[in-house]
Amino acid sequence: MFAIDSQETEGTVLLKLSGELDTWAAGELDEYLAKLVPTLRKDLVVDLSELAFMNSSGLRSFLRLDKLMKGEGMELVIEGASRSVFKVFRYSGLDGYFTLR
Amino acid sequence: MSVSPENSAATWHEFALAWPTNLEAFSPYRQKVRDFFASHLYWGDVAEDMLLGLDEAMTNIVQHAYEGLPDQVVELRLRLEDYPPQRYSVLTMEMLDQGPGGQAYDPSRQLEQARRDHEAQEHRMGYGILFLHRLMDRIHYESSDAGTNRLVMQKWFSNGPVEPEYRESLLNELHVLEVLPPVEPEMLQEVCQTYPDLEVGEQLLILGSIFGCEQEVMRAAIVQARLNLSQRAS
Repeated sequence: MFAIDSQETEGTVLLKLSGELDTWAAGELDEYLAKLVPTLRKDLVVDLSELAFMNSSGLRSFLRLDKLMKGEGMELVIEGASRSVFKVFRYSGLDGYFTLR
Repeated sequence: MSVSPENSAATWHEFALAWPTNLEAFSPYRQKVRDFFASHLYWGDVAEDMLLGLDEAMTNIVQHAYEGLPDQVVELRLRLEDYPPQRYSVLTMEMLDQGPGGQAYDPSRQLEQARRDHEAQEHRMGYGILFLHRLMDRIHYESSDAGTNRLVMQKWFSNGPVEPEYRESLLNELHVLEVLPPVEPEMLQEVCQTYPDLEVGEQLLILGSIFGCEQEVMRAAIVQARLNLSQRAS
């Protein structure tokens, strides 16, 4: 079961993803982000610490999100990826492209 | 034709599953495969990688062969062969579909386009294919006149920690196969110390990249080296 939880803090919006980010869930995430990003006035932090699985569709969602954020002049930070989720970034060669911490 | 080791000393585990073509229903089926891996695979990282590879392949079969048509099934067969005396296992994942779509999913055919997109940094498509070729040692696809598409993906990996002597034997074998120049064992040892959590095949791939070996050539050679050592030992 994939879930999205959003919290606003002082300087950023924190998006916490949990469950499994597969191709179906990536579609849900894309829809959510397409509505969220135009309303953002702060940088976005995406917390993946509760994400148990991610495939290449999830990776593509983050590429789209990064493009949307840059278009709005804001920064995207991805944090807390487990070893298996981080490997999806690494296998794609995009671990240096994103701000991962 | 899928490739299996020739010697007969293996024990094996098999698992079959009718995988749905509904993308929203994948999660519990991944869990069933995860449970099978958890019961029989020694190497946690390999299990995660194989699950990712399987998910990418299934997703693409649904999208290409079935064009998103729901409520159909792809037949999945998993086979894990253990060769304890020879210190390796072979995982075979076979997917049979009868998708009516015109675009059968042939990863080998689509790899070059994926590579071009990747090199051009267009980020539009193709990561799933790149993952498959990164994660699997062999990928075979065939389509029958009866309309059945068969995709077979295989991975060779160590079934537990390997002795330094076995690593060095693999290294020597890669030299005999003329994919690597003579390499001092200390160099392999250094790679192993830098990447201690990686399976020996992955460590050898890194060593190969230092010498400029193409990854696919190196993967095939590592499989051949394991088989050669097994056949000599049996």
